[in-house]
Amino acid sequence: MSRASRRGHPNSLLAVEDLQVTFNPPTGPVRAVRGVSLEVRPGEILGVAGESGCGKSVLFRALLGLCPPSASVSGELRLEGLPVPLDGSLQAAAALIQQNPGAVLNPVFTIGRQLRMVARTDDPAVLAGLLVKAGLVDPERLLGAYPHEFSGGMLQRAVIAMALAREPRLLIADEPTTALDVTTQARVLDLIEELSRSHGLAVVLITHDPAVIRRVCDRMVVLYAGRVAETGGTEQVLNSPGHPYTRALLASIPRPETVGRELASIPGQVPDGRVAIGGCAFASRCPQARHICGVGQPALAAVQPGHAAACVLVPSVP
Amino acid sequence: MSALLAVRGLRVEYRARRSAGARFTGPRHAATAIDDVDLDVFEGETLAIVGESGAGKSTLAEAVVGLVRPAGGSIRFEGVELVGHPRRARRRLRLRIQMVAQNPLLSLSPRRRVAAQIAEPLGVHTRLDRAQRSARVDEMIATLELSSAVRNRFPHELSGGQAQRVALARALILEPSLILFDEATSALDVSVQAGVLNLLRRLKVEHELTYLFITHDLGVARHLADRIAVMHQGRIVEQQTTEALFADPTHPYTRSLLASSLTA
Repeated sequence: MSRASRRGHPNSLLAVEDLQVTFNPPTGPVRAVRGVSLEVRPGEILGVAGESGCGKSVLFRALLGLCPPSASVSGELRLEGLPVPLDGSLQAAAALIQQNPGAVLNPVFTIGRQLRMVARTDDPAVLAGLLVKAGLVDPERLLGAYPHEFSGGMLQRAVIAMALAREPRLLIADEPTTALDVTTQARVLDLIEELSRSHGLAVVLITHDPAVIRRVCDRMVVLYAGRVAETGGTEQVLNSPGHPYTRALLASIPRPETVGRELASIPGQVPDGRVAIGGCAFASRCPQARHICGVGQPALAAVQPGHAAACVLVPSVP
Repeated sequence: MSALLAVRGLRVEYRARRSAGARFTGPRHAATAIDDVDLDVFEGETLAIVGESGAGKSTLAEAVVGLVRPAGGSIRFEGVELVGHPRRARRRLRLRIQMVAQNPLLSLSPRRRVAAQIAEPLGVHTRLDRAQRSARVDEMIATLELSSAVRNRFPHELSGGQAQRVALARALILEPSLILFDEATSALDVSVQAGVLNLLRRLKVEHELTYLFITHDLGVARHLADRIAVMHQGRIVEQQTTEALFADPTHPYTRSLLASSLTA
């Protein structure tokens, strides 16, 4: 990939360059994100996939300035081409929603009161409008209700309404539907898609579930051990994965074709962030690993236009 | 063929809060968690129970292992009635029916080493001495494809997949005939889940087990189960062989569940 394209699409909304996050507990440094560059384009839904511990959540928490002060964060962040410091300034333009909405809301305040604190207005019509925008019906009644009176799907919608209150350019959704039932999940994903399509909101959707990405995302990034393993259009990556890690991840999902057969599990574990990694981080678990994989970290190489994988085998794989 | 587990007309109620007007003095309302459930689990099969949260899946499992007392109906296990005969029922249950829950870090004690936790059921239910118990623990660790290094670890030092294997070892050590899994792979990454699902298939054959597998993940149910029961609002709305359920779902709720599930 050329230098120019790594600097980001000419009109990218958010461009991240060489982000590094290291935690510094007394037992020694842990490298959670080891040099990630990516971009989010205006109005798109970008999926971020990977196993637990690969750095998906830490990456975006670092961009929002939400890492503990003891963590070392470095890298370059640009919003519409203008540099933004990594001290939480991005919070003015981006909102975060998380997996467990019940843990975000205060159980002793009404939804209306909590929404008012974020929206900084007392106008009930504005507050009700936010709930409606998040797909909730009967907003006047819900403003006076407490979180425990809401179902899981309604809570996630209430949190989305709070996120929308500050009119963000970017919504970062960290496993927003993981705790929800399948039917509720489908409706919340519909809402996120609708907000993106009709209001031009850019969305980063962090999830461990490739099915969720296929359902709503335009492009996707696969992270492994704190680095980008693969990036490209959703169909490109899911239908013809270029990185052995992406292939292994997809092969481990139960499907109609796997009934009665062994699933392909990935042997071993994600490497520990305490250990320095010389070559490709996936080499120790990779069925196609060869000698060269232990030498130097592979750079992203183009599989197709707009689709790249960080694997030394990519140029030779048709 | 008689069923290993036969549930008839099972009803479980929870006492809910008092009415809003008299929070502390009014009459309590009973909420019906499951109602009129009939279910047969045959020896050697895997029966999956699918449905959304609140459908009553976990309550059904809890009634079978005796964690909640049914308000009515019958549960027969290996031909013995479990409802209304608490002492005899409990003794039999604890040996022959085991349960594996979703989060092993909640079901294992954070303060005891792995080997002691796997051995604990042997201390309660058998007269094996220390050396015999230790030998059985080693056997279980090998069976579960764990490295012997986990023996002296604490649960927080294990990965999610390892911790769930330890919980499974603890369930298997008494050689049960029926194991209830309550969302046992839902908290695992797909790559780790794949290894655990493969292991469950192998154990089932080698140890002649019967599985009751509760999950909200239709893909997992389809992969593992011989038959599937769909629960909705406390009732079983459809019960079919896996193949028939996916080919020709009859109940409207099953259809909407299948339509909402995503595929990668």
